[in-house]
Amino acid sequence: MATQRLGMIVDTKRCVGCSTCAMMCKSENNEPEGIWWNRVLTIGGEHLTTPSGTYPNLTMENLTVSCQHCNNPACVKVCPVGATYKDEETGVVRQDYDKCIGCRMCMSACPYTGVRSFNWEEPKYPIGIDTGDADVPKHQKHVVEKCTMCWHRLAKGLQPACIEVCPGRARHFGDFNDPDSEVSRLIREREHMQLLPEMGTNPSVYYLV
Amino acid sequence: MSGTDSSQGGLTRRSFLKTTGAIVGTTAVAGAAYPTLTALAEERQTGQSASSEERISQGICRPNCFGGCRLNVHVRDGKVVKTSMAPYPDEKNNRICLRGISHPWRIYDPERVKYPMRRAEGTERGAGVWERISWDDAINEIADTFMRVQEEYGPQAVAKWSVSGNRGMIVQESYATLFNAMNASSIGPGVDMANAYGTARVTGWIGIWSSNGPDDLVNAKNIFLWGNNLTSAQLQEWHFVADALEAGSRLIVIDPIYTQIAAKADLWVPVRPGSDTALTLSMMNVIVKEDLVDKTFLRDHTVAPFLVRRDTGKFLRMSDLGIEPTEGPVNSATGKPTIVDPVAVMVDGSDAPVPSEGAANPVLLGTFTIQGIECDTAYRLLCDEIAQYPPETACDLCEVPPETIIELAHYAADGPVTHRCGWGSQAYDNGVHTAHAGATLAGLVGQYGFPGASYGPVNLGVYPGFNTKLSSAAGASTSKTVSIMDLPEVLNTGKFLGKEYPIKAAFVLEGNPLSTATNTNALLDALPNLEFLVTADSAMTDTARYSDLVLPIAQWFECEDVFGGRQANYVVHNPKIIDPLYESKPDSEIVRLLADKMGLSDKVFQSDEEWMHAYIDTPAGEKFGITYDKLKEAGVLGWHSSDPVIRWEGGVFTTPSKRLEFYVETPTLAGATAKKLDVEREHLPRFFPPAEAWPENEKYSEYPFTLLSERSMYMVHSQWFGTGWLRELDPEPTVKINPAQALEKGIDDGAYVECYNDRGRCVARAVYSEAIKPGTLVYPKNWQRHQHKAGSWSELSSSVYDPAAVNQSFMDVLCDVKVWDGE
Repeated sequence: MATQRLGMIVDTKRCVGCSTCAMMCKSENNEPEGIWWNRVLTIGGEHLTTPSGTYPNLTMENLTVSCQHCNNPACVKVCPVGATYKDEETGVVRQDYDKCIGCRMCMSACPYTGVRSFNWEEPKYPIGIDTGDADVPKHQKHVVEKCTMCWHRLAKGLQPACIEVCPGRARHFGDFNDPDSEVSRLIREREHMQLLPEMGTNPSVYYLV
Repeated sequence: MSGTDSSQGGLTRRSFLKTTGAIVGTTAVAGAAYPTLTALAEERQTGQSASSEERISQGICRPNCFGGCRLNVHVRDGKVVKTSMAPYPDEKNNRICLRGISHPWRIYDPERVKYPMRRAEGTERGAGVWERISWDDAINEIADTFMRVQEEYGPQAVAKWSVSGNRGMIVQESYATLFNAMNASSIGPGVDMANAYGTARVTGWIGIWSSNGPDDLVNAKNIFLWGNNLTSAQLQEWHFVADALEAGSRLIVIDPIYTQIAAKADLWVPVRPGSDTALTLSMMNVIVKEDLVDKTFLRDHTVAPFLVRRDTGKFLRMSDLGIEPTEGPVNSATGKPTIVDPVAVMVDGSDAPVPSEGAANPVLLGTFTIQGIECDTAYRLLCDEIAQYPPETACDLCEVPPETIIELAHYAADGPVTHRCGWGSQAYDNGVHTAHAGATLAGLVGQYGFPGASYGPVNLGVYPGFNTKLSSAAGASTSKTVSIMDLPEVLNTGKFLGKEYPIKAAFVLEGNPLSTATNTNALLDALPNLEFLVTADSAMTDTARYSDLVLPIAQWFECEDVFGGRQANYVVHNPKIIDPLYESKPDSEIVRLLADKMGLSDKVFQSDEEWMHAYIDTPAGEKFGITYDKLKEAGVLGWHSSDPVIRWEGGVFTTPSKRLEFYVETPTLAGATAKKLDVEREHLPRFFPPAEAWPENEKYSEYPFTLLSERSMYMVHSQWFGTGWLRELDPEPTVKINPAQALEKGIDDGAYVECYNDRGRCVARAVYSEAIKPGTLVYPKNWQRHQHKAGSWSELSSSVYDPAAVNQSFMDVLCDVKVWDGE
């Protein structure tokens, strides 16, 4: 069987920057206080949901940004202990918490600032319960973490949690190596972009524009 | 640093952290190795995963954003660990949003109200000193006080004070039953009703807020959104708009603020706040001038040809001309024959008026003297009104260039056209005219009654099978509804409508009026006249903090409830999924306890199950095949075909004439109010400048900013104000300001600023945003007072309202802004 290249598509024409995908990621993966694996960025002004230009000549777009699951990941090359690696079967860029030594080389090597986070302290949960899926591994102090493409859900034949909850129905998931997949069809048919293509990382997250 | 060999042996996290010294303290974290894809799948198959113990039930999210979304509620070890999207039978209705996902935080919020609490004796209201009391003590104190107050001051002296949160049917109806049985007063919320009454007086009433279904948007060639930021406020509707855009619909957004949906629009029209009515009248001016009107629709489906008497403002009837009314079919409600007295119209080529129905080619535009009675056609009167607003004149009012007004008029005439009027445009004094004008505009070009053609705020489908008479059957209430805008005066004077009307005790439910309503300081000044204030809530809201007694209510998955409609034509059931936390109780149980103590137990249902049967098992429900037992089994049952709802099919309206009544023959008050209605000015859509937020206002020189609120996606009204996950995204109150104006004021981006007027003040962090029209400030609504450095937003807004809508004028507010001095 040919190897997969699992990835996501975000349709920026349908994304309204509502953070529903980020919230589902937060809950599903039991992300500790202050940790967000997926965030909304505004292409516009300095703050969220602020445009560029001068009133009333304005433009504004949204990008939801999490680990880009690059085909050529910069993080993997710099990890001194092999904690960050690309899964050969799926193309998913993974992070082994138990191997991670907290050096944060991956964070500095990754050109997509902010998609990785580091637990400086013991993870905090003010509500006193673990949320989300029971199969999500426990968060650990002094470990780098990021979007897992909902690895625990892939194992059950499910899509990443952020996909189906999108109120704009802007998110799609699938195998870019399968020419018949929805995601392959979408990037054939629609104008699209990857983030920072000049970095040569070839992300598996595409944005329809 | 790239190219590091990733197979360096011997380097562990512990040793690395020790050697770098970057972090103080280390922890050896145990735990199973992260399983591989294959291993995880195998583990699932053998059922060893902890997730196999997860129980999933379906609940309803019911904050009154209109969503009423079905949620999967995931429970492990008795705790709600996740809420995710639950499907509807037809996929198009599937939806969830960030608030619906954050329920686990809301349920287990450490700040949740846990026990009944009484304000500590000797402390002021709002001082924040509480003593925990038992439920017995709480119920006794409430019941005793209510009975004493009613005995001493009359039944009206106790008031049910509700708004629109915690929106379950059993919640709403249980309280209504109890307070009807007590013959108590109600405090009317006065929220967002101007576009409901404004459209209803033109089209007829078919339940609050109606338009074609959201799945019909795709059939519209042109979609107008007026003051409607549905990507925040009704996020569940956005995907239907997105589908329409993909299908080629043109989206026109009319809004002073460059919102997320304005950024998606083909045309964004930055209008001056409070001037949408003038813009609409001007669009009609262009339509008439360019003869783009749909004359057939006007003639056959509107009151355009009806003759209006100049002396009375009423339609000229055949009886005015000496033709005796006849008896029509028996009215099933009264048992008496209906009286048929047709409205008169003139037809081409004849001097004698004839009955409107069946008249061929009635005259649309004319003035006549008939038997000495001077009359104009209703269309003539409308044309006279809109003649005052040529684009050049309207431009000065609404700050939209004449050529844009002409372009808008062309789009409005190029059907099918759907207008969605939001709640921004109507949040000013006389907001009822904004919707009246819009509903008239759509009629002028025949845009009603077929796919893609509609005018209205939203389609709030209301299931017609519930027994909504259960609560009114509990008692014939002679007490009145006092609007929240009238409440301060009623409390201060003890009078309402010119008569003695003391209100001395109130029970707040389903709401947080000291945060969500306007002019909080006027309320706070009057509330000392209230001897006793109780709030039932799950969070320590502004209102709870100011109460004498606070009751902890069960969260939405801790009790059973039911919903019908709310932007999906389904009845949905919410079973009790987990036990109420701490000492909280379901609202329906609180009602039973109070009723029991007040000797009213025979008036209320003895169990939720009994109520559910009585409410759901109705003859009307049978027709849809919906019963309580079936609903409990299925969780969700449909009551409409999967086709889009089309309102006013065939151009048949629910007005007295069955026509679109853009000329309102008998304007009415929107409920009991101390104000008089000026009938003369209410017949036709007219532009009146906002009461306050307008350059002509003398306060304008002192307070040059119009203060606009937005409903952000991080709360629904004040619900979720303390939810940590949302507060991480949106941590504190902000006010958005145009950067150029901020610089003029010496306000740095991110500085704390004080917005103020002569009613109050509020401190929030300034956010530079070019989305903000110069001369306006925009604040996300409903942060709680304790979350502000000082003041609160609702201090600045006024109590002004017009009696045709009895609607709070949330946006009709002037203020100034300065850097906060820390006081």
